[in-house]
Amino acid sequence: MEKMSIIIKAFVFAFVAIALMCLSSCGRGGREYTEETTQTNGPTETGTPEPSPPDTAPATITLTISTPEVFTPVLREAERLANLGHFGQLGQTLQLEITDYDVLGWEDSMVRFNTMFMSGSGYDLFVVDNHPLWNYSRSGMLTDIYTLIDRCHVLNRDNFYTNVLEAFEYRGQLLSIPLNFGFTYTGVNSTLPQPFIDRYMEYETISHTELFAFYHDLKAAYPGGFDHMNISYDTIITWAVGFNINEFIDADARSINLANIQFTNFLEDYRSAISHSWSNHISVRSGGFVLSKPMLDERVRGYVFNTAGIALRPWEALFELEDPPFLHYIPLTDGLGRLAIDNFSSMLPIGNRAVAVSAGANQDTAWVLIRYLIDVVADTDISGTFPLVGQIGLNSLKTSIVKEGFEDRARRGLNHVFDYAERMQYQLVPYVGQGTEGGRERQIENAVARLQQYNAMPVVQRPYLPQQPDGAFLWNFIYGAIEAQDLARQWQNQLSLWLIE
Amino acid sequence: MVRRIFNHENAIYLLLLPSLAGLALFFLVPFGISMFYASVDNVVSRQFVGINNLVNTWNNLAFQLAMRNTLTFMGVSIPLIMALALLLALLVRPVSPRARRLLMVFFLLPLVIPSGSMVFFWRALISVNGMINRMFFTYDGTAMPTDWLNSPHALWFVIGIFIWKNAGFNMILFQAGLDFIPKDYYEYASIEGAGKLRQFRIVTLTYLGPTFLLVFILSVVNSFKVFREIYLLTGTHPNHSIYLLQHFLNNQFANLNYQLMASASFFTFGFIFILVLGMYWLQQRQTYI
Repeated sequence: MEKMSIIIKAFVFAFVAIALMCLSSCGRGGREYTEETTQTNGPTETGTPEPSPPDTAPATITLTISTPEVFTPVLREAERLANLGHFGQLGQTLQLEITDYDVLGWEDSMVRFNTMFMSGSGYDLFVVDNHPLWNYSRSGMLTDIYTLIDRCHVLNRDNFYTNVLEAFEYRGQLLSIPLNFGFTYTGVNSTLPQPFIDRYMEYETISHTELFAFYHDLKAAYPGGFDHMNISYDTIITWAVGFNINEFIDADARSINLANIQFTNFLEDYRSAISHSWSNHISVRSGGFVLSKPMLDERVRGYVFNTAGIALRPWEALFELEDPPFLHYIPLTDGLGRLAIDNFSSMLPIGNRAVAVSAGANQDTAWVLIRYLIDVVADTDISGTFPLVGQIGLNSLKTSIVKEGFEDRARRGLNHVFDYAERMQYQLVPYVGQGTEGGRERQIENAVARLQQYNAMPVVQRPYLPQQPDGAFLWNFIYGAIEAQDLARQWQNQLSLWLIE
Repeated sequence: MVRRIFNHENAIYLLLLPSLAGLALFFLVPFGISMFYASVDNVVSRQFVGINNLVNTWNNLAFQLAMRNTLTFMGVSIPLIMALALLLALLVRPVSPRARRLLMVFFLLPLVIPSGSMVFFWRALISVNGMINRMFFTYDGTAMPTDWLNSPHALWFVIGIFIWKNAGFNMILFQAGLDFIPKDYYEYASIEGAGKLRQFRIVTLTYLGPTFLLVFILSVVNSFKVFREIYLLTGTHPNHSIYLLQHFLNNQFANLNYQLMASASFFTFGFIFILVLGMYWLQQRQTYI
């Protein structure tokens, strides 16, 4: 009788203990997964895997990647080239297991990533836009990519645009590496009164604050004209606020100071400038075709600024045109004069992309893939790997993160813009020197020189704003329910919490 | 044989088995894993770092703010809700059984309304363009409406929501406790010359001791649940005054920072454990007439 009682007690406790052990082992999955996918080749002096004897090397190496869906073809192309090149020479096959996420659903994706990590699985690489990766730095789950660069003998830090890498740094760590970068160019309406044209021409770069000052002076001088203000091809206020909010955030010190007159003035300026129209997007295209000059003139009447970002905008942004609707396209900066890295084209296959590497990933393989990715993205516009109309010429406004070959790529890319425009017989505004010998080359050389000058300047990333401050408060402010001071105080409250967490 | 196996003592353990398994699976194991995360550098490399994470969490400004706010919230709201629930229970007691049942249903209603609907109501009441601003404040063009949940008064609204939702349930618990006090005790006290107030102090409060403990523990637990409403009303980063421990835990999870999250859980557990233990000890020390 007593024995039976002991047996039953033991059974109960054993059951509980087994349940404990079973669940405890769940959390070890990630570790085991990592070890399984790690090649037999460890880190080497060159940072790339050394060829292994055929009988010991794994035939297939797998990397798991989470990416916006539109970037998947680019990853597949990098996978193909890597298998033709590096891995083919090793007698191995790189296999990418790609999971798409909605580019607009980063927050939801992070919840999914979190639960995956918690359950012992996770991705080796993440393709990201301008996400607050520094917020994840303390978790230790992302690799400092500087360590991969420093291990690599093919590329070292000097091969990269270090000013751009620094813009992506957090406390000396590079948690994601941008594959390319570009800036937002803003031109001014060429039909403005001459004194204002002359004033705009004096700028080499321009900040949002200067744009507002310009706009308000113009409105003061000509109250009846220029009803709208277009400062971007897509005037989502938070992006503009994001650029400007940057100078009030110290991510290193985790502090923010929005409760000051400059920021509230900026908000007031912005509200008064945009309140006439929210959807003030000038498109030079209609139904897939670029508009003719008279049609474009009609469309742009009343707009003060226009921004060149995608499609054939290199034509407008980088070339000197005869009688253009907008002229003198110059990069936007933050309040400190740093060129604002553009991430406006996140919905396109290319555009600005960055890659983060999980701390548990097969890092050498990941780095090899990133190197191929950089090349694929840099060459996309030239080779026409993914020939979508909307992206032709896009990379002419972008620069690969690797310096080498910039001029050659830029020339070929810009030539491609000309070729494409001629082939498609777009009625583009003619460039200065069109039809003359060497006219195209002069335009291209000028554009390359400008890009080179901009690429060397200090740059800054638009700070990521959590979704919440973008919402109700802002709309309450825009519609006059609250004042700029209230909005600033509320954002200060929320962002300061976010920063100290 | 079967009867021997399923004798009284063994049957206890067998009947407890599902409950123990559930407890282990859904509480003990997650807690154990949390404690593991609190002692490693990250969930990938899992290097043991001792109490570093606990120290980092303790020094984290957001954690300090969240802890302070949580303590303030509990310190104010729990005594308030207990006093109010007891008062309601005493007020409802003399009415007829039928009216009492109706009142109980009325007071329990907030508990059964889904959080989403409740938040909709509160939003309509206290948002910038809400009823409170419309009813009590007129705007002459110089003053702007107050966004109450982003004002220094935000905590009082949260306390209000908490009390409104849970007071009815606590009232019923107190009623049950009151029903268990024999009427004879009041008669004895009355014969001994005790007035109503003294009867309340000597008899009611004394014999409600175990009910007080139960209501206190449930109020502590429910006070943590108020996060759901705050979160739905104000999101992940509310006004500083209503940033509670659950915000911190939730946001650390979103930041992939399991170490801080687990360490904060450890502190939370320790805090509740000490609190409940203290209350239990106090209740044990209570002397009866």
